[in-house]
Amino acid sequence: MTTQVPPITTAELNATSTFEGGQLATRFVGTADSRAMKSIDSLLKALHEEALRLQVREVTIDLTQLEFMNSSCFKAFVTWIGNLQDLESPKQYSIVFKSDDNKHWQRRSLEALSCFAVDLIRVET
Amino acid sequence: MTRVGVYVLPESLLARFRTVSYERLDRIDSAWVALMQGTGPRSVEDDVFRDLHTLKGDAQVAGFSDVGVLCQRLEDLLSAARGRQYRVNEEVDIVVTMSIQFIGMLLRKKSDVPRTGIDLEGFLAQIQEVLTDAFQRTDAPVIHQPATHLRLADTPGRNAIRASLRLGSVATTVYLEHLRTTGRSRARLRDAWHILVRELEGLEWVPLAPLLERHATSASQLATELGKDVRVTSEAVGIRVSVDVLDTLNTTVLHALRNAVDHGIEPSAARRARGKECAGNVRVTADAAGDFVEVVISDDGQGVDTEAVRRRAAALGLLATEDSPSEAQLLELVFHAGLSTRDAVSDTSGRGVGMDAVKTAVIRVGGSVTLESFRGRGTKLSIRLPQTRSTIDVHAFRAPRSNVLFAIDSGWTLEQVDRPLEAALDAAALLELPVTEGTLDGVDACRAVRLRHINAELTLLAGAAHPGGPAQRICVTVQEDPVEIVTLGGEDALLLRPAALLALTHGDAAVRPAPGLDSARRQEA
Repeated sequence: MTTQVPPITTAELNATSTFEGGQLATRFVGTADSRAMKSIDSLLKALHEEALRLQVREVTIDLTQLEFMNSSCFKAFVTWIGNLQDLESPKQYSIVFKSDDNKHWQRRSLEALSCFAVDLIRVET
Repeated sequence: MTRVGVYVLPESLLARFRTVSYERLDRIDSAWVALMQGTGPRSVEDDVFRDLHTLKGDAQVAGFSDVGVLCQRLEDLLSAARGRQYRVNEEVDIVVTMSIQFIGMLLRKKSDVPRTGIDLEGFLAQIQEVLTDAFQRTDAPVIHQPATHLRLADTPGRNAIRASLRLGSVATTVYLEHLRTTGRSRARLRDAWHILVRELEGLEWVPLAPLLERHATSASQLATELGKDVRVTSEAVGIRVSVDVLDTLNTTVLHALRNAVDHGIEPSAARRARGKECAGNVRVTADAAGDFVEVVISDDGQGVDTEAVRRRAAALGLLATEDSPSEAQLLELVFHAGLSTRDAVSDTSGRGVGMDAVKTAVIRVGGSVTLESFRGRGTKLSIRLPQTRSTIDVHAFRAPRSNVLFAIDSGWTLEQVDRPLEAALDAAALLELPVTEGTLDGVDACRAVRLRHINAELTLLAGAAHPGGPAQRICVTVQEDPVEIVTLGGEDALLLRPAALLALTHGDAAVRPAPGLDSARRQEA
């Protein structure tokens, strides 16, 4: 099912969101450098709104096909997590990051990111 | 209200602390981006450390001890990055950026609300891992990064590292070609190899003079702030050091210079009274001798007040009142932890780095430090550091039917096995190395050796055994390259990377892999 989350479609990065079987998920493919920061920031804001609208308990971010994401783009994720933490507990949802263990950068970056909210973030390989 | 010890911080002050701290964080964040992109002026660097240092102090006063702890670790990260002239990998960039964000999150939390879900300990552990991985001696930055990381980086420092890796690969190719060639061409290729290795040295070793000049300027500025007339000069013409040595000298020299200005040089009036010229002199010089570099920081100030040191040491219980230590013993006490705190080093003398920390940093890299004092005439601090290349512990053996020396990272275990030679991978044939005529270890000396690494296994054809040991990495290549040239006991050796070697076979039956090699490939991939 399509969502109200606008996709990112550039030569370097694609990100599409789906809502199937009650699961809201966004899949990133390609590379995300500083040029992608604004797009990712907008996408995550829309995704947050969509998660609240659909009242999901969990949002999945699939990074297995993402070759690299730089520090600027991680800021957008931190902002999203901050917004999630600011919600009252009943409205909060979990974030599941699907990662590729062979991409070394993902392991450390996502482990560090999960420290921002270990009660809300799960990293799966 | 926020409780600070027995005090309660009014909300208005807390709000002010937060506002100012957010502004500092924004500045630190922007400056970090500029430093990573190589677009920031030199002053940005000092501003970052000043902002961070102030934020750390403010946080501790405001009762945000967790912010203070994280600021300290961020300071460690930034200091290490500065030592590498910001030639750091993407992981460092990400963790620094996240640290700044993490501090912001800690500041945002209401002080009287339990901070559930925030794993500060876990985050600090991540920083420690990055510090260990990215800045440890034998692990040059970005070398182990996938190609995608190298492709994305565009700062001048990273370009130098990429150039170094490319040059390493080219140099290795030239070296292998020289092994395959005979006659005068062989000598010419070997000359070309030497030229390339020298070029690599130029990329890996950096001039020391700019660092000393910068610190000398900083010390001069401190003198102005203190109202002292001090000439600070530096001299390190032609001296190049490895980035590890630069790391160590960065903080130690800065502290020593600031200490000399702050504590060594007397005010002009006192100098005149002693018959000295009004302006004090502080000088830092560097000299390279053999495998060492020596940096000397000297001043013509008042020298160390060893009587004050003796009193301080006695107060700390380091000396009994009846002890009569020699001058040398008292000077050695200056390096004792605790003695070089408030009395010996004021806040202006650096970022809390005492003389004990200077000595610890120097000793950690195998160096030594000595302090000489001439009462009323000055002090001389000598820092001596070893200048060694990155090393790697290796197993070694001769290539079959050849005098060429093969090396394998000692992370693999190596044992001779009773296995048909046809089942072993012939790396020498794979690399098209010629059979050396008249070698002592001829065909009869061939044997099979099994390499194991965790669950990976590989059998190689080998010639005569060699004791192995620490090999110097003179021509670093990326993990995907099957070979890197190292020197072992003064002899060139080919450091083989089993998984990358396998990729060269392309299923060729003549060089088919031994059982278990597929898993080896997975391990190294």
